[in-house]
Amino acid sequence: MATSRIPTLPPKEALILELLVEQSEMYGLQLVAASKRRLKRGTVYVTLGRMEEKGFIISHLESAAPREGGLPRRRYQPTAFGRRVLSAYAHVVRRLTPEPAR
Amino acid sequence: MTRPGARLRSVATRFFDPSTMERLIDPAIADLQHEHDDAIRRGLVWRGRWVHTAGCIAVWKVIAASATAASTRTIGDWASADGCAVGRTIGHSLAAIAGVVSLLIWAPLSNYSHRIPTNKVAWMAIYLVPQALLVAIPLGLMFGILSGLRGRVATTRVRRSIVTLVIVCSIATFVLAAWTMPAANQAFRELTAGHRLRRGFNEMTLVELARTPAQNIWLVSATANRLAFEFHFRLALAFASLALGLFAIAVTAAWRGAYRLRGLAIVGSLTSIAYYVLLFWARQAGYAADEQAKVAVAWIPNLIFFAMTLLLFRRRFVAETQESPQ
Repeated sequence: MATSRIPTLPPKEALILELLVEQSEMYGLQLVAASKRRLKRGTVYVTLGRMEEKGFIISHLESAAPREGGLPRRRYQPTAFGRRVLSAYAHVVRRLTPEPAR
Repeated sequence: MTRPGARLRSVATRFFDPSTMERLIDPAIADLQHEHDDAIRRGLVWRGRWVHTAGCIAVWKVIAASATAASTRTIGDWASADGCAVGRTIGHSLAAIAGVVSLLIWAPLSNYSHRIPTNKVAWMAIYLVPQALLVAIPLGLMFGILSGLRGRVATTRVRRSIVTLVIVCSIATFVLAAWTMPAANQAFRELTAGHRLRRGFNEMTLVELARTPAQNIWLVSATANRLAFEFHFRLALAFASLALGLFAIAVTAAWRGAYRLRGLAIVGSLTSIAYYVLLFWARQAGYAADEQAKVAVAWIPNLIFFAMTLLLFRRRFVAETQESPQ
């Protein structure tokens, strides 16, 4: 069973989760803009797709009607599981980062 | 007017499943279209053009990443299908090929390595590899098929995959025999001799062997008969993978994979010995044979193995017909 494994959280996925937890809901290009060039527009959608498969985030199509036959944007939200994983990851990072000498 | 990304989307829909389109490619195109609309609405024409170009590059990157992921998944599924029969066959073949190559290059390497400077020993080993591969690929493939399908039910899908593997190996041995091996042989001879040497028959490419003696003026012993035999013998050698690979598939079909390790070792070893004894005989007999017989002699080992393959498949077909309910 996939869920019996310890979930991994690479830095890019952690960054996306952090941004989504802050804003609660964003679409792909918003994440790229908010990441200050740490996320690329060519790779963010693949990372988002992978995170959705892992159950860290969920997505839904924008309810506003698209103009002139355009496609509706997909908005992403963190799941409770994603929030828990991010919190555990942040805790581990805090524990492993050496404190500055006094 | 066509919306930005619309053409890319219509191309992508032909190649990707609806789930990939919905989760990966459509969000990228939707964001591109919204950003472009936004720039145009604000009158920023150049910004709109930049968004269009950058967005299309991003969509192409998403398409490339999705294609890579999809092909990796397909190869994984293909290798693990039917009890990993195909994956096992590929793995065992590669291991057998590596083993045979190591064995075949070890002897000449230990004999000649003291004649050349130490820093060139690695080059010598590299030059020996194509010649060794020409023998190792057919043998490794045969042992790989016999061992990979042992204890497995060879379904039609598995057999098709293994036949594809056999064809790929035959193409590889053809390229090796036609171009790579002659060049590597010549480089090996010149390295051990320490000076430039005239090329012999084994150092000629297939194209050169197909020429007339007048076009191969440097070759003192070149006659039309000899060149024709060398050409057909090399071609037959290149098709050894096909002959031995198909024979191994026929053996697994006749025995239905229900053979022990000892049976595998016996059949594999006897087949290898028989094939290469026949090849050796063909080489010797070919020199003495007359013009017409030379071509037939060069192909005799492969023809014998193709005939045995057909017999084994026929035996399997007859057995299946008798077993099937009336």
